[in-house]
Amino acid sequence: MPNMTVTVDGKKIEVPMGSTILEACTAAGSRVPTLCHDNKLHPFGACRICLVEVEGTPRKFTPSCTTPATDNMVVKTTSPGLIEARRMVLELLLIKHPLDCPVCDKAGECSLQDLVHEYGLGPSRFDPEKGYLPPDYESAIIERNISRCILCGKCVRICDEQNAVGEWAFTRRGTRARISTDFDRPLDCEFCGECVEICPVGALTTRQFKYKARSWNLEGTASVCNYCGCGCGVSYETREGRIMRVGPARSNYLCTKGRFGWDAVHHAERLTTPKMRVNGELVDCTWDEALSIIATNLKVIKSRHGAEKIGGLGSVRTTNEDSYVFQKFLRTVVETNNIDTLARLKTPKGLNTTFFSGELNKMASHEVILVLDKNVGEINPLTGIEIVRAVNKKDRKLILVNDEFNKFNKIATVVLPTSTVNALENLVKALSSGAGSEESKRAAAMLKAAKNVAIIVPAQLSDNEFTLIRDLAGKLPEVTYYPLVRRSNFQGSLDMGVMPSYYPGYRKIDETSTADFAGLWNAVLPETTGMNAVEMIKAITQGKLAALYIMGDDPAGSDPGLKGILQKLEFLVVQDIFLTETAKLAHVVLPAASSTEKSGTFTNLERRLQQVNKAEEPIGESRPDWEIIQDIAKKMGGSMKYGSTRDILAEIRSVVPAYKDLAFGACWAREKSPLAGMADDLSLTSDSIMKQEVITAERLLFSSGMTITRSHEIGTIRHYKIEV
Amino acid sequence: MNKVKKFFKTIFLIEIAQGMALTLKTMLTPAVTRQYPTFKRKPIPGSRGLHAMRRDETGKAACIGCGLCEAVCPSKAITVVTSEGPEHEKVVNSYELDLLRCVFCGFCIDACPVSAILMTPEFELACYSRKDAFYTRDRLVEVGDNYMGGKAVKK
Ligand code: SF4
Ligand code: SF4
Ligand code: SF4
Ligand code: SF4
Ligand code: SF4
Ligand code: FES
Repeated sequence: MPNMTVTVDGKKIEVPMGSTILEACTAAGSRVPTLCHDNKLHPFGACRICLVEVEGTPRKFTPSCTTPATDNMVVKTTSPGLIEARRMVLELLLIKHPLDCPVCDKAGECSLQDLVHEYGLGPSRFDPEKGYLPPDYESAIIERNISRCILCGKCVRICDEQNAVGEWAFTRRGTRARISTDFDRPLDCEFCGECVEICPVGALTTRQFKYKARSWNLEGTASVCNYCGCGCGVSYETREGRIMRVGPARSNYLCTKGRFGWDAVHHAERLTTPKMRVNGELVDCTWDEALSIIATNLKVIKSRHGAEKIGGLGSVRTTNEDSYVFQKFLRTVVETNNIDTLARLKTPKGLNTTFFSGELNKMASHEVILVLDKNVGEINPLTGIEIVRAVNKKDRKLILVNDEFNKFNKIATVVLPTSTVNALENLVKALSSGAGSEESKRAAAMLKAAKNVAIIVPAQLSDNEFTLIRDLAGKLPEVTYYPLVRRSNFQGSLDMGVMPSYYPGYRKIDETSTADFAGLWNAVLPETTGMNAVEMIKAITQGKLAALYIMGDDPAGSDPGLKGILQKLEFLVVQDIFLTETAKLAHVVLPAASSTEKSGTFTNLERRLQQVNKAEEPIGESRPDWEIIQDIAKKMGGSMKYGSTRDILAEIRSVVPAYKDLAFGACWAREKSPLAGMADDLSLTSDSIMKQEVITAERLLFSSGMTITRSHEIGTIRHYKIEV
Repeated sequence: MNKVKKFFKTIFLIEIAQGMALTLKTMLTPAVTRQYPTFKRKPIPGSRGLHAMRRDETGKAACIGCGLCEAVCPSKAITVVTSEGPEHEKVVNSYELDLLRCVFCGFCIDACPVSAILMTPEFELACYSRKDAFYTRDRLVEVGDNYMGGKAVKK
């Protein structure tokens, strides 16, 4: 794009054609105050605070956020006249805006407050009409204080342009104009809180943070959300070492789970002490007792039945460091390869062999986006948001496969109202022979014409669907896959080798790799591959597995049918943050620190290495998972001596080639995996266990395993039906 | 010359006489030292002493929990903890002032938007335990009552 020259406050700069005056001012380093403008949104021009002077125009003052700059324009961002004009804008806003800053939760980060402070207003020349409407407490999670609203329309636009929900709208006219939902009913939306985040004043606030602290009391700790594979950056905002609220780490999107679901870790039922079973009852005990019992029992079972009768189920929620130490403990100390995660049952076939996710923020670089899972916005909310942004901001085409109706229907270019498998068959047919329904033909034509295509791969795939997707992709010039991944560190636990037949870094277990790892770890390793999760469960029923160590998973909670099976175990250890259904069956229960209480790294679905940072002290006597396992290993004669998670990460970097020089925030390249393009299948299938979808909330969007059920805020979300 | 001067001064005890003259003069002028604690000085208006909390018109502690005093305090002597009450109002769960940290700058008084926190001229703050220097809201209200006769004070 050609550039043009704009002079801002005497400074000449080059900006691309089509830039607004505001963009030119920002590029020149001149600050122009704004209230209704946000880079995430289309220009709107509602508040008129961003006035600037443009030389040679008949209208002296011009709103800079909506006016395009032109070549050789001369702009002044400040002058006595401008200050007077902006003051007047503020004075007019303050006719209605109440002066309850001392008790408003927005104070300290309120744009209006800051501007009034900056421009220094005296007494108003108007009759004030403050607090003309009472606050609205009807909705879950979000409170609306209409009197404080300055009608900037940011909430309306973000909910529509970014979320495609469109919950807010302006109603009424003139001085009575206000933002409201349809018929002023309570909110019935995604409860992402983006509207609260973007509101420049305290008109929208959250119930969770209400009157809890003042914004200037808070200290931020950047970390990563633990509720889905997107791994959004969060900032845990603490006061005196306790989280008060959670915001985005870099003004990124957060869904309701990421923003409000963290309070699960403050739940009163958190495990705070180790417990062991005495006469059939779980009673509190000391760490030393618990760890000794585990070490002794595992040793006895190993010598009596052999190490192959001991297994471990890892977690897809714990950090890479935890997972790495977990599998290393089982392999080098217990000497078994019976290591797995149950989450592999809920994974698309071909993940990490055929399907390597593209980067989410590059979604909009694809001309056509093909969504094969209608639940994309519910399973991986950020993926859904990136799709909406690509369509609304970059005019990308969206082909949606959806046999029902949801928000994506509103923005889709073509909808294929059928099941995924049918849609794929039709598309392949239409692409090769040109036959098929009108929609299929249109979609096929769009796919054919596109330079590059993004395909959203469903969270679960049948073999047939898998083949069809590969057929389809074979007919297109350039395809980026975006597989859906439910749990936060699923990718990480695969990378760390929490699998029975692969070492960390996807090294298939065979003679050479075993020799290599025996050298790296200086240990004797089991010679055969282990049982996978499904086989382990079967082995328990057949008496072939005597002991199971579960770190951070709740099989009995996700599938009540497993309860009876787990009871057959001679020895069950469960390490978790709650006394889950599974933990209730255990012989020893160990309290683990939650992800807000420990440091480490996650690897999200884009294979991005992310830093998890500790924001709070572990509750009670709970401890990070890796520390617990290291202590058991020590008691069993192992030689783990990690001082901190950094030591573990250093070892991971030396063992897993993909992590060797991987910077924080970077994604590892698919070529680094020995399985790229191979026929290996890292997903598991079973016709008996974990059959049903566990939806722990009214909507898939609000559910994410068992932890989120302990979130008080998420629990308040209800659906409203209006009777008309 | 100097030596001669010094010799005469010494034999006539000049310096001793000068010293005694001053002593005698001071003996006969009235004392300026106040015999504290027998005699106490009346505080001048606006002197900054022990804090007090005002009651509002309904008789409750007037603090609305804005935390501005806490924010402005240079020595971090004040802690305000708030939450939401049953009527969606802001409730002050606790208001604590650690006098051992306070430097009596009076910024908190300036910052308070409702003049809830005030200063009394009380300056005798010696105490035997650290706990006594730790003022909760109730203690501050009590101080206020002592100074203001227990009545609500208009802003
Ligand atoms: S919470 Fe999210 S979905 Fe709900 S109205 Fe606000 S922006 Fe829209
Ligand atoms: S509620 Fe907030 S974001 Fe929405 S229009 Fe009012 S001031 Fe703007
Ligand atoms: S999209 Fe996923 S990672 Fe992001 S905030 Fe929501 S649950 Fe957390
Ligand atoms: S007088 Fe000054 S130091 Fe003492 S509490 Fe008030 S603000 Fe803090
Ligand atoms: S400034 Fe006044 S109202 Fe605010 S917290 Fe302090 S004492 Fe209370
Ligand atoms: S910021 Fe330009 S009109 Fe509001």
